[in-house]
Amino acid sequence: MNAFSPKVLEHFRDPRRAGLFDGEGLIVGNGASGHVKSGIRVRFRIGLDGSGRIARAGWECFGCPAAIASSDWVAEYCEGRSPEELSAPLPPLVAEALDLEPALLSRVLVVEDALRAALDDATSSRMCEKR
Amino acid sequence: MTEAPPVYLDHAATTPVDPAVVEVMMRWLSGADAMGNPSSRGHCYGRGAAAAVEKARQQVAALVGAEPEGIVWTSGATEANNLALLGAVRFAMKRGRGRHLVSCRTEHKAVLEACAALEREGAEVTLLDPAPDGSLCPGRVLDAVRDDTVLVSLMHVNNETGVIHDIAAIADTLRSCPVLFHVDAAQSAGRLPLAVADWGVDMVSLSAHKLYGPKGVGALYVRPRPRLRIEPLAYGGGQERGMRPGTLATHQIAGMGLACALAAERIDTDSAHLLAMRRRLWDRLSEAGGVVLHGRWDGAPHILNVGFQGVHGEALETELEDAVAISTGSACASADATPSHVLRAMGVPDTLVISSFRFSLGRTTRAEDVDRVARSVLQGLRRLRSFSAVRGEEGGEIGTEARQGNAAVSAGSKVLQ
Ligand SMILES: Cc1ncc(COP(=O)(O)O)c(C=O)c1O
Repeated sequence: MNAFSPKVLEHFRDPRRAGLFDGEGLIVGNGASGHVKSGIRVRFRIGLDGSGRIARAGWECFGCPAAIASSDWVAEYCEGRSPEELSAPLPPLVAEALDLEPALLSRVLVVEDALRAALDDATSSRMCEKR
Repeated sequence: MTEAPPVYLDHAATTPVDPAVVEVMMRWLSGADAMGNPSSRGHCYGRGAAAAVEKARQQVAALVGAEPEGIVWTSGATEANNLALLGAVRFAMKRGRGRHLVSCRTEHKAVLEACAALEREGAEVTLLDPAPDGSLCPGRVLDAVRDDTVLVSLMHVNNETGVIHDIAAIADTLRSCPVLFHVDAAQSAGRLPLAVADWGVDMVSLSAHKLYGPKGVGALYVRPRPRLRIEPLAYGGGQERGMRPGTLATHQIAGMGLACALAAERIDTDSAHLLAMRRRLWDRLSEAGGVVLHGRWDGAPHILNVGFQGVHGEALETELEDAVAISTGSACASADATPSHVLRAMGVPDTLVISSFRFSLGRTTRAEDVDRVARSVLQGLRRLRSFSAVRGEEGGEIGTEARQGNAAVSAGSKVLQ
């Protein structure tokens, strides 16, 4: 029944970016998406450095192994990139990287929503700071 | 170091076949005189097989306190449930003797789907809602009975929660009405005492593989006196009083018979052992905090259904894969899975349904198995909760909510904040 790919299981068993880091010295953005009731709830936190790049990303997730692995992969993928570099849809990238079955792609959409909300949050904080 | 194989705690799904049962089955597969058709009364081979079948009939009947001539062999409890419901209601409908049946939302799919099929044939079905603890008050059953009610069908022990319906009391309440009473006893036979004839129950479904017998064989008890008539599901050579024609599977039936005889011998020791193991498992698991029992303390001794707050059932299941084989209330990797209809009917919130597990213990479950399972669960819970997005959810949300969650996933969900 657990038809999860080895790559999903790798991120699930040994996540690299689990938890919401302390964003000291960074411009932090938080976002959340999904609902426990529908089987997935994700929180994302990103931290922008002075150049506007994502220096750190972290997550919290209530969900199946695919949701947890997607959160972790997306967080890792973000780091070192600018928000603009993340404008392309993420699900195809995640699907490819984690060998996700198409049926599980809806999980990635929730992860993406949480990330985008965090990016929006950080960008608006940054604007305020600049002003 | 190689890990021990996962502990099997899914005995409500199916049990391992007792070695003595395997032996008797082999005897009726490969014995020099085993080839006879039990219907071939004209030669010793047929008569030998028939004697084995009749012995098994006695053994099955004795376990549940029923008359042996009431036992009709089937392929399992699914077929028995279908034969009982479709057989009784179709028989009545054809003769204009009513078209209504009463059952409960927590029944096995084999009953609920048979009800749905009957509805498509013009029958009317009342599905009772259980109390939040899964129980059903006999008075509520009686209240649902109408003038045109043919049949009441209720399970003895619920296969997901272990909750026991008080069949003796319900049968008593129904005694004053001319309705048939069918009981799905697939989970209770061999684990709780049954007194089918004394209780005055009309039909009872049984399954061999839930009591250390083989898969693919079961029985429907159909009250023989006064003779209860039902419509068969299939037509053929008239075996089993015409209710279930087809050549009898001697080896399967002999296996079920012996499994029932062994269960009758061991019922007291088995249930004392199961109760002790269930208690031990609960004590260990509840150390984790945020553990909710679904059902009742006085449920069947082999089932413990619990919800673990803050973790997704499938994540915990994957986490425990190497340690324990259990059933979860959710499964998102399999496309057709839906959250447990039983827990939902009891009013368990969906958030907890998807975090719920059924541990079901067996004859061979040892204390050290329980301890090993509990250790793995506690470890898994600690890890998954350490990064779960659910802790402190009530305490308000951090950051901005995604404006449009994915509709397919978050439809109907309330945006927090
Ligand atoms: C309560 C109940 N009824 C019916 C069944 C179906 O039994 P079988 O597998 O023999 O068809 C089961 C087991 O799955 C059960 O637990």
